[in-house]
Amino acid sequence: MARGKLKVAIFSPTGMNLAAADGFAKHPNVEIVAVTEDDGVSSEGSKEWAANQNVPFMNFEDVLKIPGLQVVSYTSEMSRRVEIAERIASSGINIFGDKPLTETVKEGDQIINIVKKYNVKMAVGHNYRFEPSIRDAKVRLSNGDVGLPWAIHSDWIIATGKKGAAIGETKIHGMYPLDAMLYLIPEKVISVYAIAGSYFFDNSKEAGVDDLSFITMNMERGIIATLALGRTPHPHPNGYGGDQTIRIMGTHGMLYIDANRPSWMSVGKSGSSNKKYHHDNIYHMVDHYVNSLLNGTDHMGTEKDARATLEITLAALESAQNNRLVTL
Amino acid sequence: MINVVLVGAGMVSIKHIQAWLVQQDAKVVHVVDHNLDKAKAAAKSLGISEYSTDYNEIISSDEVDAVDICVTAKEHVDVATFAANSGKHILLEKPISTTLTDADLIIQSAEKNDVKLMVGHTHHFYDYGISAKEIIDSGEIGNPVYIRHVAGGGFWPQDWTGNRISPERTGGNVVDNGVHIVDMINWWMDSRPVSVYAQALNPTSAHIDMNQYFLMTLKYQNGGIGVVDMSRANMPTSNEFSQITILGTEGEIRTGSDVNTQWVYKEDGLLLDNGGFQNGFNREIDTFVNSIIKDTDPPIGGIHSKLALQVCLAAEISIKTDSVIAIK
Repeated sequence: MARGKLKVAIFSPTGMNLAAADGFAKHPNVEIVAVTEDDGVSSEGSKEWAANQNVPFMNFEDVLKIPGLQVVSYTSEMSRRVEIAERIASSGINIFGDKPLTETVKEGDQIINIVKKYNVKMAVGHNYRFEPSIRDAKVRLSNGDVGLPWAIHSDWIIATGKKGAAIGETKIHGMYPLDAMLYLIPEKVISVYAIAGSYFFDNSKEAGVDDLSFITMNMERGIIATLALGRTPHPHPNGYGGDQTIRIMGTHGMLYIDANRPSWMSVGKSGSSNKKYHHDNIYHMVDHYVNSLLNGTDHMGTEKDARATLEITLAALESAQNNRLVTL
Repeated sequence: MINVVLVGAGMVSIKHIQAWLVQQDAKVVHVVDHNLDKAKAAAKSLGISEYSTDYNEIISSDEVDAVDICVTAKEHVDVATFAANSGKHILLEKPISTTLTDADLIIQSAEKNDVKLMVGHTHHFYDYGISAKEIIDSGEIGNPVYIRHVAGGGFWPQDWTGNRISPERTGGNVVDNGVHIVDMINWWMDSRPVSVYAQALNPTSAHIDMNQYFLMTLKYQNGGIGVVDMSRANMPTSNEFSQITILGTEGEIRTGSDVNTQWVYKEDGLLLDNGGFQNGFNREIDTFVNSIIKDTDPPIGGIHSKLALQVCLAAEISIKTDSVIAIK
């Protein structure tokens, strides 16, 4: 049963956490109560977002003392992920965290222990699994529409990039398709092999990080899983923002998801493009988490899910570095 | 007019016969097969009355210029070296052989006797293969850095006597069919593979010793990534899903099932007809004949074909040992 509005504070509404904050803000069962930043930080952007929401911008420690506060949605430097999560959880407050969960698997385990220790609920912003086509596919798979899956292949290649991600595409985006793949086929990944490199962007080459990787995995039950991941400087031939596909081979059929469809193909003053039918994964993700808290139900997209994808991406980079199979 | 002996009247010979029938500068004068009934039927379809079960005498004949070898891969070395030593030009079905030792024997005997040796990597001659190569060579997409070739289908219709289910006679699915795509990617990438990691499954015919589905991840000397994703395990068996992605440093090209020339909605499902797969055998045989007439090197000689075989044999080892294998 619903228990009224959920009180949420936003820690640093920037990047993907800004998108999540906007999702919380427009949710009918959420009340944004405050905006904050790390101790001593004064962000004009955060203050402006607070002003737009008509809520106070406050010191972090004071936010944690707000009576009835139930969630803090946060992003931070990677090195502060664990520390901030612990400060939130130790106040008995649930956590909505930015991706990637942490920089290392060890830190990921620390967050898992923190969530368990303080008996709070945490969700991490892996919004791709909330894509309507992926949710539909999950139902089809559960219904046995393609029989028992024996392979899953995903492409996640962003088109028309201006530059490569500073920490590499595998680290910055790998968790999205991997999380969706593990959602659709929840079997443990046993080993990982990957080839990765900087093929397209000078800044990636200079930083020695990847802008394209191909990751292949062996999952339990003998399932083969692959992920082509990266960013290219040129447009997608279909006018897409990039590839977002998943193909699942089963003993009795095949399921193919093109998350850029359905869409409108258009030609206009600004050239040709492909406009996907409107939907909002991030809002679906926030809605799922909010409902789980208000109704006391289990949620998905947890810190454990995030830890699983983190382990794979790090293993893939290690594999690519040494050109060998990495066992998890 | 170039006189040709067709040795082997099995399944693939049907395609060869169709191509020989429209060849203007060459004709098949004799058919040989272990099975006299098959040889007779093939001869009949060629409109000739010469057929036998023994190739020695006819290949030795001065009236014969070339031999088209369509026997099972394991027998290639015997027929090909006999033809070379008899001074006959050789069109040899792929794979060149089932072992590298046999491949060397074939190549050396052709060189020693100064006869043409061309291996039937038919995909080189399909519309899609040529088109991609033309785009790549035009420089339109820069240098290819990632090539993924997904080719699928269901199990081959055959009984227990069929060659395709016999790794002993054909080299197995990874060799027998993998060489097609490995050779294509080598050609398009214009670089040499340096390592392979391969995975395989037999999801729908566990009673047969074969890798129905396999995935090879190739690392190239130029840093490029090649992925061979081949299935004979698709269900329903009519599912011939295909998808080819070539990412270049300055652009990309794609093709596959979603660009078929015909979509036919039938009572039992959707039929996709890909007009791109035309004329491969005709072009292949025309190219072989022209190389004899003009005394030029055939485009796919023994060295190229041996490299494809080498990669596929390494892939077999990779599958067995679950490790990355260097291609030396």
